[in-house]
Amino acid sequence: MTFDLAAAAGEFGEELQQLLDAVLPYEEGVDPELRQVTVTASGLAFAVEIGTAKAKEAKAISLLHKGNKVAELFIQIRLVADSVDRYPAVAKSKFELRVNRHPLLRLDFDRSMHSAPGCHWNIHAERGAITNLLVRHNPDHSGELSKLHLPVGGARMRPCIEDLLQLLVEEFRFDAMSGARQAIEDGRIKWRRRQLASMVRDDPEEAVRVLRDELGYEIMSPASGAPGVRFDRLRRW
Amino acid sequence: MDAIVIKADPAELRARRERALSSVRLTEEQLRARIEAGTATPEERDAWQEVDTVAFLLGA
Repeated sequence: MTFDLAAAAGEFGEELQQLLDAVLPYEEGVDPELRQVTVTASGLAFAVEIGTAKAKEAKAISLLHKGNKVAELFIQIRLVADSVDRYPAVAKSKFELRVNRHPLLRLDFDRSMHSAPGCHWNIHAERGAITNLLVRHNPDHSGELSKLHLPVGGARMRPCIEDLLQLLVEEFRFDAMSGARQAIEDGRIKWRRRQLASMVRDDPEEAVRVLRDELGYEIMSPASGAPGVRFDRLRRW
Repeated sequence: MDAIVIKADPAELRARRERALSSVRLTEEQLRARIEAGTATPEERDAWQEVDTVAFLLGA
């Protein structure tokens, strides 16, 4: 494990902790350490979970309404070293809204997934018309709505956890801290700028075109030659 | 609350996997089969999550 990588994974965990604490109130009478973001480091891999340091297993965060627990938010993120072993990159993540451990909504990301969209929502509900369409036209599908993968922009344009948190506090009206909206928006700005930077690396040609032709910048190609467009990344769902 | 970084201990990780499996009284293969068949209970899904996390950390 390199020092910088572990430190960066720790910073990732700290940022998540600060966000959660700024948005979701703690459940009264429950040990707050069960909501501590735990980054377990193993070589160049890191598991980011909630409450593991205390409980020795991943825990869900209680979602409250008027102080009473009404649902849970399960968060799991796996980080691995990026291609140059300098920064932790999210390899996989799962954000799940649950009631009594039963999933209702799940946002899954797996950057190595090819058989389904790399990032997708699963809705744990029933809708006969959808089931009917699935089983009638796709013999490989069970017809369960919960096994339908709703694509949401791939690795780069996928929703961030801030989007899910805003859904929880604004649509479901779960209890929120007073500065929740600000914390969500600040976090979303950070997320989108990071994703934008990654997209520029994926497609520097388009970034240069916009900066030069639309915004009037003068841009010189690096002496080592302009990096190519990573069409494989742009192509994936 | 501050986040915490802990270094994985292989023995502790194996114990974590055993706790998860014994909590649902299934072997890893049985649990995997129930997950793949879509018949796992919420408790079994959580146990599988634990097993999967341990595999990720031990395989790194």
